[in-house]
Amino acid sequence: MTHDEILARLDARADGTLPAGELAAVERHLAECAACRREAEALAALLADARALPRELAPGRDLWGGIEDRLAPRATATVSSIPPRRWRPRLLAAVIAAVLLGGAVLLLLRPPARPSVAFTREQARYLAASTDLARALARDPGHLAPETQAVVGRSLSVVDQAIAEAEEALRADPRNPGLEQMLLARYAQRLELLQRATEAKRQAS
Amino acid sequence: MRTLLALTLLAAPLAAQTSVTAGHALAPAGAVRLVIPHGRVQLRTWDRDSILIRGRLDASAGTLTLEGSREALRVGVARPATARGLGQADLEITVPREARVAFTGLSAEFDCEAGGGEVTATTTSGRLRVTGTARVAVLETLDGNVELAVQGRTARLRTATGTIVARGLVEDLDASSVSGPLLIGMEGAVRSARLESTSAAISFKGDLLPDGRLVAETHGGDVDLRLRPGLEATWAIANWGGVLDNRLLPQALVKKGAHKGEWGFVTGRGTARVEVRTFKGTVRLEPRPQER
Repeated sequence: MTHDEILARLDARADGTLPAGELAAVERHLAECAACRREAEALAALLADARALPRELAPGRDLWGGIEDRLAPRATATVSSIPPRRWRPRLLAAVIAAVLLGGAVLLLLRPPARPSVAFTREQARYLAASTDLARALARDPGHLAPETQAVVGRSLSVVDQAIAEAEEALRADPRNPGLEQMLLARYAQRLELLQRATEAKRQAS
Repeated sequence: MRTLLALTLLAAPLAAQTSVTAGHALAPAGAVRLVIPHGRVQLRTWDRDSILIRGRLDASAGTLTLEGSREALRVGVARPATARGLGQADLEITVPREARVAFTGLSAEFDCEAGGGEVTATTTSGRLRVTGTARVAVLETLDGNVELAVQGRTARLRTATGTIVARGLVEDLDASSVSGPLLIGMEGAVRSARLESTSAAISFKGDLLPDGRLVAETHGGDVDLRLRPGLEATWAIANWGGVLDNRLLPQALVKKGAHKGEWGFVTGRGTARVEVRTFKGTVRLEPRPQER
């Protein structure tokens, strides 16, 4: 087999779906070819990283930053004592922060059962990018107008609900390429939404 | 170096508004960046090598500025830090036919009659509308509606909650929403159409080139495709929770796929490709209205 033919079979090797005859040929090649062996090791490391993603995402102090401070009720204040025009933006900030975090936790808590290597690779990429963007957006939501925060929050809820349903379906039918495509499309859409929200914040400030 | 160039302001206070007229030389395919946060912008084209801006600004909108050169110009409304209110602008801007225009707004509406150049428009909540001929149109908003009615090569349309309407003929169309419906009616055969929504319905009426590709995917909505009955395509339809309502193709051709809720089959030589995925909705295949 050529190098390209070997590389094309690495995903299936990692998946455990490579026919025995081909597997033996790939293993023989890897034993002799350092470049292909490095590719196989990099793939194994990626999959190990993906499996090691935290099962729970606790919001760090940096994530909440000023949001938590503004949301924390004062010892002597009650909700009804806060003037509505100040309270509503805080509520919206809380909603959007919760949705952003909720989405990230949702993604991390519910990895589909034994998906394909290609899917896992894409999923890891989107998870990392989505979490980074959610952090950046949540760090200072004050620059987004309340109505824009509400739009972003509602839209993320819609996407996250779809992700949860698609993941549930993928768990029931783990190697369904169509479901994998649907789920990856939702991840990409979530990422794009966060990017546009970040851009909107930049434009508004 | 930022330079303020050839700006003419005709101040004529009418109530709380100021009339503005400004002009500047602009190369036929020059780049224009418009930054108008609030209000309304109408963009037109002409056969002159210049840009003309006419309209009105609210007192709180600030001042109109033109900066740059004949090749690349920035037109903006600079709002004073002390201003109260959103400060609406109502501007009619005329640019060379082949100009490359990039518009950025917040709640501003953008209405463009393109003359063959490139148009990029981004808003947070403002409506985006482009008609005419646009080689490239990129329209992105979070909360606004997007309307495209052009002859063009490439279009990319994005909204989260708004509706996307596309008419005319675009070779390569990419449209996506979260919860707003997609209503696409192409007047001829497209090379590529990628249509996506999370929860809303997708409707496509048109045709594909022999090697064209149509992908329609929605998690929660219906997909309604109105196509040419003789389309020679490879079909991959997945509808895990709903129904395939086929009124386009002979039933004998429509074969089940490898997984539950999937159909995979070939019509004719199968050179084009049609992919449909919906998680909960109904997939409807119908002949185009003129071919019923």
